[in-house]
Amino acid sequence: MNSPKTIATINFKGGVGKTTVTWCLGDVISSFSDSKVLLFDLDAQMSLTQAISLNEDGYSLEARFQKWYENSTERKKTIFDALDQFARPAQHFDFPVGFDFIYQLTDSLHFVPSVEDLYWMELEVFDRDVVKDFIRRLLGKVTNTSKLPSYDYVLFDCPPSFTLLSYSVLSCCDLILIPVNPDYFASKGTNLILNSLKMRIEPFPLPKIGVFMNKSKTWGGSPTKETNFYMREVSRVCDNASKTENIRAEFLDSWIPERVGVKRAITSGGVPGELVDPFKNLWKEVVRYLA
Amino acid sequence: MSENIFRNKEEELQRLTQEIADLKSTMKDMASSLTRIERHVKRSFGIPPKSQSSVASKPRKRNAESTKEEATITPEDALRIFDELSEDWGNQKHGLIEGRLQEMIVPNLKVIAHELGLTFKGKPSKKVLCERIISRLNERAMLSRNINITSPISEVKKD
Repeated sequence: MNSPKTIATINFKGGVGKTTVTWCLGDVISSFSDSKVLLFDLDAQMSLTQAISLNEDGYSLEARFQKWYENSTERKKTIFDALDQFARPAQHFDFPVGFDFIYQLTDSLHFVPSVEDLYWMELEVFDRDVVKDFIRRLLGKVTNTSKLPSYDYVLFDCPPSFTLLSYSVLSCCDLILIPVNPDYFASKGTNLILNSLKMRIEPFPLPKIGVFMNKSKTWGGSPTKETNFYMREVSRVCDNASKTENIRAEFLDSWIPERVGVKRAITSGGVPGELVDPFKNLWKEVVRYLA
Repeated sequence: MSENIFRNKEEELQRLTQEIADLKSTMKDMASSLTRIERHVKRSFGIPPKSQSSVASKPRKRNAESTKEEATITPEDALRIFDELSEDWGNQKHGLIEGRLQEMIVPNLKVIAHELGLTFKGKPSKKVLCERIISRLNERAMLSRNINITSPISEVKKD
């Protein structure tokens, strides 16, 4: 069985669009190709989980997901329970994974939701070396479980702060996808990750890093001068880090235009029409980069 | 029958003055909207800012000398100059950069500012243009700077 390609969407700056990008990419890949996609919400803020649990109207709950989620938490089949099991000292990682752990959004788009308990994880689990291999081992279970489909891609929506779970994901993923925005603070987040990856995380093998402009301000269908300024600057940061840190960081040509209310796309069930092509372009570039 | 609706000449004069003021204000708004649209159109078609609007480029008597000046650099030059300034900024030659910017003519500073995506509410002074360009130099420098006060993970493990 082939291992899926794993992609972590991360930026230490909040509000850059990690959740929306993760979901839109997952939706575009699963809708416009034969690939099967698994999404993980690893953020204790549960933005992706909550967006999926809401109906299009924005205030009533999605009954099928609610029922499944209650069942999953009652049976202790959440991501937190998996980590809890994994981190127990001197115990075999006994956590069978199936569709009580993975929710089927569509035939080809599946989802592992987050839980609030992840907020308190850092207080309960201290040994980062133990947690480091958690996601790798969990993915091994997902890949080797015959009841589950063979996923082509696994996408992780990571929290903005650096948690043990982000540490675990970054330690084993194939690609770190960093959305930036045309402003200083979001761009600075890229430098933080590039600087800290080898120094603080020591992943092996070293994942590729793809940075792209999200929420790009546009004029006449092209990025504005201000957006271009930050594109050039972040591209420089990537080039410098590639030279000095000996990592592979590339600033991608694809960019996603800013669109008000894009978050509602998750609850309304589809990527907005005008964003489909930009996300397809991003996807093509990601595939080329991963190859 | 007289068409004069005013009680006296003063009232008529007052009313006419008011109407002239209203018309002037409307025309000012229209001129400002047209300038804004023209600027955006030119920007989106890549016409360098040296070709200012016909209204703006008309020499004014009271400030003819300064408005006659046109940018002598292209957008590509502007980005190259910014790169050069950035190198010196990194080498702590701040005085040198400030001096170089001060020596530039305002239209050239405007081209650089425009290429860096800087926007201004009104007509910026040379001082403001220089300060904002320097703010971009600072951003570039800070985007690549890291201050690590703790040891790398490999050294922590050794301990």
